[in-house]
Amino acid sequence: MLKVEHLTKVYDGGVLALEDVSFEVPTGQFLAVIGLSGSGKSTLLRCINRLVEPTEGTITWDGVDITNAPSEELRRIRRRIGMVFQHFNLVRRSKVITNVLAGRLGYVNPAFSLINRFPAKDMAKAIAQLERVGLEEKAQSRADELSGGQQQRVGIARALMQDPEMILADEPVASLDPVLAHGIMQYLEDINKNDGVTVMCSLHFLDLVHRYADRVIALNDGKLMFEGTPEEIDDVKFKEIYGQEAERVG
Amino acid sequence: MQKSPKKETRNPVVRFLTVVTAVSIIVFAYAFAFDRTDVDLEPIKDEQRKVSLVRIIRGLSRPDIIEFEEIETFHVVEVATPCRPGGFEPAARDTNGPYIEMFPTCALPGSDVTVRGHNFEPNQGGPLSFIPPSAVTLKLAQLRADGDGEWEVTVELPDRPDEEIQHLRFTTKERTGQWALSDTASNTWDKMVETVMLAFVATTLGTIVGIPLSFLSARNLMRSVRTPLVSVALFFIGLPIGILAGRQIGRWVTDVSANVGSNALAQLGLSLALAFAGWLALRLTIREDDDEPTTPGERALRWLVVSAVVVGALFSIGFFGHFLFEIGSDIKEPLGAFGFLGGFIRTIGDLLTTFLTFIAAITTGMAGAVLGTKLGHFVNDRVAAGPAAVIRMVTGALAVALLTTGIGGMVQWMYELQLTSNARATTAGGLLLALTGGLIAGRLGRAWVSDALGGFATVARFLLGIAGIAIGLTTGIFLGVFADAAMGLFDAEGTLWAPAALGAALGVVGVWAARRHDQLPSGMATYYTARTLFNGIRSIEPLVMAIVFVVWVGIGPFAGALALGLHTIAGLAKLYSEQVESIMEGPIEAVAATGATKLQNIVYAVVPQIVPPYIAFTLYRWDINVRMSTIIGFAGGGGVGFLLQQNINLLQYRAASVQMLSIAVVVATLDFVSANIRSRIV
Repeated sequence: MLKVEHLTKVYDGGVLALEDVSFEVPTGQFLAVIGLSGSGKSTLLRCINRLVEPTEGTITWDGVDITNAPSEELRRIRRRIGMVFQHFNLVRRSKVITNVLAGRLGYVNPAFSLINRFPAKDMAKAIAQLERVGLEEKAQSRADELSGGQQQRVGIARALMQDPEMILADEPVASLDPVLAHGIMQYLEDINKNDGVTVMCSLHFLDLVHRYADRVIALNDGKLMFEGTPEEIDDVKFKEIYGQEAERVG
Repeated sequence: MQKSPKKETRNPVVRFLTVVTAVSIIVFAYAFAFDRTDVDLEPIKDEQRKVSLVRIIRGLSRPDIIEFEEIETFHVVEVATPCRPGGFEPAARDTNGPYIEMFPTCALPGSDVTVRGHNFEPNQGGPLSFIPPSAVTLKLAQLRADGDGEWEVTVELPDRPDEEIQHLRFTTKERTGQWALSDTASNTWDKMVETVMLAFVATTLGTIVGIPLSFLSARNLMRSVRTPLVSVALFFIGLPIGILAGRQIGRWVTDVSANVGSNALAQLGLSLALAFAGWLALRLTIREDDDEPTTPGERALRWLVVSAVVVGALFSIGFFGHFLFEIGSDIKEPLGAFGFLGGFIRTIGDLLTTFLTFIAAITTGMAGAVLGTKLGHFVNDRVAAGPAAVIRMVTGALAVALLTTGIGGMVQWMYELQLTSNARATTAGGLLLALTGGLIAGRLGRAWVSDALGGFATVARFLLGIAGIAIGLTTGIFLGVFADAAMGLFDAEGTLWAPAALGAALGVVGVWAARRHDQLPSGMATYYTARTLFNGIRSIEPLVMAIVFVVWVGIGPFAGALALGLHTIAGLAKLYSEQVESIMEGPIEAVAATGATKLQNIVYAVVPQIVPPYIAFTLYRWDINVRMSTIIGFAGGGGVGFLLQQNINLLQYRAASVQMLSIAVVVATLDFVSANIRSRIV
């Protein structure tokens, strides 16, 4: 159970990105986060593993206070939270296998990993994850030789290397061809349903939300506007979330 | 949409005046500039200067690279000065071949005589000299035969009367058609090799040291680094303790390894045995995957083992250094032409043993600092508020006291101050209270000025801080004067007590002003320190550094390599760090999200992104260093510059031209090679 209470984030320079956001995510749920660009979705996800330092409020996960965790403990929390990014965030000049192994960095001995040595079982695990996303043949290719969809699958393999209990997916399909979107989302669904991993995923397309999410929260201008099931988003709610000028597509 | 009003065509008079003003300003600026740069055309019209210029240009355009072998032929006639009683007839010569004769055949010293040459090659030239019995050569004239191979000249005999027969000599040279590299060319080749190697050593040194420094001076990596106050304090306590311990260990190692004697095999055996033991110890205590959170006991054990291994490694290095030194000395002779390899091994060994104490001090200093930082984190996160506050206060006071004592010692060492106690008390009091005022004002600023004011709050706090410093400074100076008058607070010998006491007081005030969970922006502090240091070093020309190093290590390429190396470190660290600042943030974020440490993040997310620019910059720097090392020679830093300067000073422009040409060739070659390498890697 992830519990977010009164979360507020003010960036240096005074931009208010999140304002008093509170919600809960039961373990094993697929939660979609929707809202316009700039509504605070990315900030919210990054506050959870403290890539962005929250200004106020607390985030507790299975009883552990993430917001006040000292740096060592934060590393141990982070390694149980996989993250998938809109722009994949692979190291483009490194090999695919190296990118996947990077997911293991929180677990291995820092001294050994600095000279690029990973335990044999981690190597085997990396190959297994690449097989899971169907890219075992690309293991030795450079990351930037892969197409966008393939890169995002490598990103998912990297997150899986962490043996995550939760995955934060920040617009995982927004920079992909729409026809590839379902391919990526199905991996997340599989991880959620079969491995029991909690997934928090920010999305643009409502049909994806309907198809994959158990529950939805909506942000508008940093404030929580809606919380409920995808079916509850009717036209009125839709206008509240996206503004009066918005129209439904797809 | 509203159209922005177009610029009205201005009054023609105004425009005219504007143009006139602009032109006058430009004329004025140039007039001033000409005056300051001494633009003067008079010397150009001087005939003498024109001749010199032509000579230089002609010399430079005929680089003295190739020499033709020549055969010198002496054509000699005997001379008697003064005449012998009964006259004088020189020995007969073969009049079919080329020969010279003098009229009259004998004469008084200092009198004019006529000398003729016959049967020479048309237009053949050479010097005519007078050779006294002492066999010195006194040149009388430079001659050239006419179209028939004849010449005639009237010269004055030198004032050298002698009983013995003397000689007149005309020397001709004939090219045999054989050519060879001139001495200048082979010297230049030697020095050019030296120059390139000098630049190579300097660039390598700069790269190795510059890379880690570049991470410390990259804003995007350092911005987020914040450290709790206790950690910073313990860092500054751990560092000197570590350095002192390391120095002691280093001396110890040096003594022990020197006692083993000159048996190379014993040294090697000890070194390898220690290395193996260390490896085994690490292997047994540290697993490749530290899955489980380690207990404090386990952590302590690990630290102990690592410390023991470090000491063992230092011993191993010490023995190994001696081994290299011995083996290098032994194989230097048998290797013959490759003796420099033996010399290299010997020097490496010498380096290891000489700098062992330094290496040990640095290693343990860093270890002490890291251990201090970790302890600080532990205190900050785990210790209860009451004891933690005491620890913060004590460590803070101690750390600042150590710092100020260090600074005080440095100042004392450099300037050998003989301060009156009055001046010291005033300075100390003033600084102390100025900082106190600043800190109090800072704290008040945080309490009084609301965050909601945004940028305005920063300004307000800044002003408040300045006011605090000013008030503190003034009070301090007054108090210092009073205190001095009242008690003679600081005696002349105790130079370091004052800074220490001052530091301790400052530390207490600093800790009081900070809040419990305050994280100090240690990253940005490091960033600014490193940047300032680089800018300082970079602004000193390598030429000037070479002068200092020449004093330290003597004239030669080693001094040049050190000077260029130091400059390269600063230059490359700056260029590198700017590359780090321009990398993509995404991968860094992604790797951080996996729970990686800062160091792992650098290795996995930063390094792969910066390899190509780093290689490009290193090659470019090598190119710069080759060019600079030509100049370094001017200050005695070795390399081809030394020859170049010598030849220019001796007005040997043909030789100087060879050196200039060789520099151009090497720079062009390097440019070509580096462009090739870059296109392959990037």
